[in-house]
Amino acid sequence: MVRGNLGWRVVLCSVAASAVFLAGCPVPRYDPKLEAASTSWKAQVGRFIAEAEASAGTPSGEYESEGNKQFYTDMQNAIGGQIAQTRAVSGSPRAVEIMELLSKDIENLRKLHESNGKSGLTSELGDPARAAIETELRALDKLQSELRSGSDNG
Amino acid sequence: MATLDVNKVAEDMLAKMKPILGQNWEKAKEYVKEESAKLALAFVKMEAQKLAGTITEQQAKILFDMQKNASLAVLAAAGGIGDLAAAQAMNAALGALKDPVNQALGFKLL
Repeated sequence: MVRGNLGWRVVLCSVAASAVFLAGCPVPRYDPKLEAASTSWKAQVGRFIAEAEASAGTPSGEYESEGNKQFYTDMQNAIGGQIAQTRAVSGSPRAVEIMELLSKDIENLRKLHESNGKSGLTSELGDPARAAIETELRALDKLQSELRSGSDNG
Repeated sequence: MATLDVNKVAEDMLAKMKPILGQNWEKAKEYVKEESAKLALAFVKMEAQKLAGTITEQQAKILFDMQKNASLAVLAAAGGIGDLAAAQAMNAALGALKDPVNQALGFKLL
């Protein structure tokens, strides 16, 4: 009987110790959907800026052109949706922070495009804007890569 | 004629950021050096573009805001610096450059 009690105590202590250990472990915050979204955004932004620069000075390159305005709306919706999703699953606060900076810079890109009127998004404006946005997306990828490898807890 | 020296601007930024980052300096310095150099280069390019008349004052302000946001994103991804410390260090560095940059551009960028 004494031996039986001891056995139970050992089991209970082990369970309690495991619970304490697990509670102290960081919650994994790697999000494969966010990684896929970042790759897709990079392609979309790169393609859009390349096309806008190529059509700068023509009617289809103007901000007011329907497809151009729609791009900014679609990007903001996609980034906003991902921010909401990351927050909903208690994802990485730093990933949210970077996505908020990205959202600000999509708005900045829109303002640049709009500010240049009929000239559209020239390379003087598009190239540095693309570099800034790509830097943000690389930062997001770097963070995701560290979260995936477990070397960072977000 | 352009007056901003990219190396001097980057060095001045680093000198301001280092004491603010304090114990985070060692883990942040690689990123901070790179981002200071990018911002310094952005100022110098902006000065040249402004002189050439290829960008307006409003566009320069937007491009600067974008470069600053990109640098903040890099610092956010560099684990452990802390958002507040990164933003404070960045603001102090930019504050130190206020006079030479604004003077070179001929308008209030910072």
